[in-house]
Amino acid sequence: MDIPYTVDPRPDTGLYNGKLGMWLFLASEVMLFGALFSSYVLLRVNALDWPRGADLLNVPLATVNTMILITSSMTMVMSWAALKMNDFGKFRKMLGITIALGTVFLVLKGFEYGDKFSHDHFPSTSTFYAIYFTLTGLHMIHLLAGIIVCAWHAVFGKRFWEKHPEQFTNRIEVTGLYWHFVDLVWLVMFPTLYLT
Amino acid sequence: MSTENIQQQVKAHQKIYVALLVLTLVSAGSVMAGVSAGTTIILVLAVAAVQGLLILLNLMHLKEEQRAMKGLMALCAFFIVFLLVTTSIAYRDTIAGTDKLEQPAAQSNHEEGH
Repeated sequence: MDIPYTVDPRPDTGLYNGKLGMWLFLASEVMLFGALFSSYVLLRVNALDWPRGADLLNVPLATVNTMILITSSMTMVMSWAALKMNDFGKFRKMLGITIALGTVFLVLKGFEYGDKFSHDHFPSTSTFYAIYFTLTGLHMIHLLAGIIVCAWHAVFGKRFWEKHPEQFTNRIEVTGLYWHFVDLVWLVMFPTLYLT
Repeated sequence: MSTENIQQQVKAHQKIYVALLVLTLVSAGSVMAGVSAGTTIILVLAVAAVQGLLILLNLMHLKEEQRAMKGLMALCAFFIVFLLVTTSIAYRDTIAGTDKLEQPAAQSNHEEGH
């Protein structure tokens, strides 16, 4: 039995199943990160003394990381566009660059964490570091999940693409939605933690 | 969607990509240039809001979705605003409560001094 609306949009929502599911998942993710950002605001406004992120964290490195993540969003769009134009080779190349950029982000973040740990700055050090490690750690886990999904599509996607090209393109579009969301979360996190 | 439409969309996304990079540099630059803390907070949060909208509406294609999806995202935004407002109210309550608790203690200290 074929599952309906894997390719064509449902008439009531205007979305195919995967896209509707992803939007609902992202809505739940907004609740998760929204609650953490609210916790950050509550902790910050209640604190007698709150350090300025720019004084404690590496702003130039975080700026480079932000630009890397924005670039990865662009290559993600280009990988989807390549599939729309029936060019699987270009899709693989663009998705490969996306994965590489995501990995570079994680490696740079690892260096940043390493630097903090070498200076005895742990989540238990202060409330600032507790919320910093919680927010950035959760974001890193999300990015890692995105990299794994992208790698799966890049390595094992060829056969599915040959059988169901439209459904595979939709899967990449949905993966792209998730990737852009992770990028968006970082774009809020970067000024909140590092610049204010 | 035709190949021409896809290429046009990619070109539009490339412009957004450049805008996102420039806005990131503006945010980071304001901190490195030593702009005052108050101005920095307003500037970087405004830039983040613009960047978020650019991604949400264009890269995530929310502007092309039906009203139900836009409503869902509006509901999420409302949730965050609701959380922020309630936490702010909780903060004001704490301050009011602290004042009430501290006043008698301050008075007794004053009496002990005499």
